[in-house]
Amino acid sequence: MLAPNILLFVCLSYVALLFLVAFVADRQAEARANRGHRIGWLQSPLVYTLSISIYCTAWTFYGAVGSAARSGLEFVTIYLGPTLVFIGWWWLLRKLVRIGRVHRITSIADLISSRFGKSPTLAVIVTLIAITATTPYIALQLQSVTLSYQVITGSDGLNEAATAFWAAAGMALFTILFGTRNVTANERHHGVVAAIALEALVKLFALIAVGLFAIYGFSEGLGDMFSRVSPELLRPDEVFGTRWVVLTFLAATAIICLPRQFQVTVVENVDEKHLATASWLFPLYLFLISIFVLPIAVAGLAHLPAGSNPDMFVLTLPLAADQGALATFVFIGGFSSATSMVIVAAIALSTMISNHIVMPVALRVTRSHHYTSGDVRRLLLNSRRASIAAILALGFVYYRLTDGSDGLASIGLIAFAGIAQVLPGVVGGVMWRGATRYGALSGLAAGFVLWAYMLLLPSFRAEFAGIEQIVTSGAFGIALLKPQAFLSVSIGDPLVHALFWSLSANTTLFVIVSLLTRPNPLERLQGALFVDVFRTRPGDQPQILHPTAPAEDLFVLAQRILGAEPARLLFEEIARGQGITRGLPVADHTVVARLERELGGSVGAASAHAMVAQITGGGTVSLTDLMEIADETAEILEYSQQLTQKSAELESTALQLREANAKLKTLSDQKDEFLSQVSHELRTPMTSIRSFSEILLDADSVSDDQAQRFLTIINQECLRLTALLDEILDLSVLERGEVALALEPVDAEAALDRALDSVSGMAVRGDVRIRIGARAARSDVLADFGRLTQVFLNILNNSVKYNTHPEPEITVTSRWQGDQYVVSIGDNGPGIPAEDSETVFSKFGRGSRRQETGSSGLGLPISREILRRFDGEVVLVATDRPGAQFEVRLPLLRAAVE
Amino acid sequence: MNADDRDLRRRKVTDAAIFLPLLGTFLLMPPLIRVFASNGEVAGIPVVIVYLFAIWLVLIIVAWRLAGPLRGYMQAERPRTDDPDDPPHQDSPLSNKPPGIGQ
Repeated sequence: MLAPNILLFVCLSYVALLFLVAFVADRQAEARANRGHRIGWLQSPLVYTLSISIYCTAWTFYGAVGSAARSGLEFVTIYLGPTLVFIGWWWLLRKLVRIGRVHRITSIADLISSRFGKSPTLAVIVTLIAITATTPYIALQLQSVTLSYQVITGSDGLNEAATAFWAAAGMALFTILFGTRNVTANERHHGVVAAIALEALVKLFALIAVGLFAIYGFSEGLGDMFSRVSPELLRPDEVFGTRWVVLTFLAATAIICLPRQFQVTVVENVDEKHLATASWLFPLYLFLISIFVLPIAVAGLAHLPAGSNPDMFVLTLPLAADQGALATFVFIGGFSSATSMVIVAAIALSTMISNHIVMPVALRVTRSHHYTSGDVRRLLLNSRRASIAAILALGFVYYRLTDGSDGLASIGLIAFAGIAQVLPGVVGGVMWRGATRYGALSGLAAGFVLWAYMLLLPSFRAEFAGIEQIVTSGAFGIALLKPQAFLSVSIGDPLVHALFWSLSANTTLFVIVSLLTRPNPLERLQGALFVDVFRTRPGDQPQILHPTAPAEDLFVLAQRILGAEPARLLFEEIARGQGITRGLPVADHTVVARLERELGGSVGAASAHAMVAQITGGGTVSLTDLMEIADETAEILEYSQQLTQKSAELESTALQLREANAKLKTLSDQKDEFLSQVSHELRTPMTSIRSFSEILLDADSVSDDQAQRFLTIINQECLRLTALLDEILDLSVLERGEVALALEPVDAEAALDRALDSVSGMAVRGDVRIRIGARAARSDVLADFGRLTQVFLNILNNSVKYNTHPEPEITVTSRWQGDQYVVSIGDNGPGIPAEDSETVFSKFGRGSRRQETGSSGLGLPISREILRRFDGEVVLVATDRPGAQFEVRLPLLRAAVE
Repeated sequence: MNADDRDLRRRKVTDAAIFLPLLGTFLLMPPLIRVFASNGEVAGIPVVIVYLFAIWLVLIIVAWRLAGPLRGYMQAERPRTDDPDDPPHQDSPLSNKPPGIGQ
């Protein structure tokens, strides 16, 4: 036991140190800010992380060990939840911090109100929830300070109420001194942050010291220590159930939604990049705090007398070993964790109360005076000071009312569950553009009511008989309404039960009502700005310069809230931005929006909006209309981009169509030409057939001899017609690929011989002389024997027919050239001019040597088509000799080559 | 490293940052954590305690490794604010891109 006087002295010295640190930090921050510098160590990521550790309150410092002694590993969930949120900062925290900085958010209530169209009602509701959930928590801190003071001094007779009262008063004084020095933009409190960073270190080292002492002062190390306790302590079989999941979720929610956490993580954030450091450093802090909890609990259970309060093991363990200095250090650690939480919570709550409750009321009262009667700035500061005192007084009353009724931990969890009702509004608000104010309102209200009925109310059952009555038999005696078995659904754990119902109702109503209601323009604008905060910038607004409000009035308003000097600087900067060197800037929409944001940094978005709207009249409404126009402009832009893309697609389609059309035209032209040629070819024999048959019909003037001759001519012409039609049919069938040629290895030489045999008749008659030159050996090619013969015959016939030489002569040779079999057929006729070397292969393309030869003109096209099927070709080769020379080339079969 | 690689790496790092909490939740919640709720011991310490704190530490280490590059990406996408605490910086079209592009 320690003498109360010594302890009091140590305690007061520590408090004095905190005041000094806060004072120095504030002075430094002020000096540096005036010189335009950053505030070195005060704005380091380390200080930022340490300030977040106000999450670890006296509930952690004392209560975690108690929880470990009672329920084993369950206490870990309270630290796992925040760990998961922080290592997942890229999801949500990053966005919250960005929104907080861009929109000058002052509190969690301001965030929700600002998101949902700067709604004052929402701000009030969230503020009320925050007060309701925080008051028990503050009472808990007072209780822990009082209890630990009693334990360490061993004086039971001490006046508990007096201890708690002075503790509360001291904290109120500190908070008022350093938490309400000014109303600067974004509500940053450098002195307070510095002090709580120091406290964070003290409580961490104190807990580690006790942990090491527990491990090495009472046993030979961890292994030895755990060997002495039964494994039942950890309760591995029951602890990893629904409650494990729910508690982790609850803790994760708390690190986002608790007003004090929002204050240090978002509002006090001076640099977004600090979050990157905190993302692992804060989980590491939690890890270090947690790792020594179990050893302390184990040592306490093993070495302290049965019936000792496990919530005080941290303190009683060193006391039992007569380690007075360590015990004092631990007391200071516990004191630190309690005070830092209370101070930040009080600041956060007082900001919310003054901005969202006091200011709107004051606005209403002074409406007629138009800000000339009172200084808004002083009103703000005073209302905050009063709020801090009131909050601590409320905590004190709560503590006196419920003193000693509950384990420390259960109050903490009730508070967590209460503030968790804000979660759907926060997450939905920053992730979902469709969320509306009415959705958020109804969800919050339902969740809050259910939480209060199912969790907060039953926590008073020991104090009030009426409440006990409700808990056991339901409100109005209706069993279905039992707060811990609602609608007779039996979920054993009251916390899980209450959380299930309140959050289900909250989320469901939030979503459904949001889907059913239509947001007003300001809501839509804010929703877009919040959800797309990484894409939009607050300055990106239509630049239309025409005044919407008297600049003088706005200046007066800014002076009243920001103070004379900051207001002057702000307006000078705005004027410079507009290119105005002297006097006030033009109060256009941009300036009004900017001013609203700046003022919002001090009084909250809803109040700032109301104030500015009072001066500008309909000015801000038209601003929102403008926003809507901007929204539509963006849509039009997007639409026109889509159009551009579509028209590019159309253009390429049109190009393809044009190409296809050109091809079709060529084909159609070819077809026309073909038809005219066919009709011409048919017409010649038909004409002679007709004229001769007409002569024959006039039988009188024709002799038998003549008739015989004419009939012969008619017969010949008919044969020619038939042959022509056969060839046309043949060609069209070949061209359309309808006829399947039976490809097989055949001897091309044999086919050539067969063709030569056919024309030998002409040679015998003396029409032509056929000279057979050098011939190749047996040449196997892949072809159809009959068709191949037809090809040779066609070319030989051609050479005979078009040969006008008095002594026509044809030379035929064949050879192997590489892996090709080549047949050359040359004549001594007039030859074919080079320009006709392709035309001769087109249909009826006899070239310029066209004359009546009795040929259909389809022989060469048919030959070429056939050879194509055999992978071969027929070409006209140029020679220095007179006459034309055709070459037929066919690939030899591999076997034949080898 | 060219701009394409940097872009790919950036996407991988942010994907990892998004996946990490999901992995942590999976490893630390039932049913998986029940697997380790046996009576075994590692160096005299119950195995579930070793598992829990080891996973916790691994998550912290991975978050630490990711924080460096992520901080760089935040720097790159910083918006213009009217905050008097911020040193004035010029907005250029490049300011939306990761650092180093165009250097």
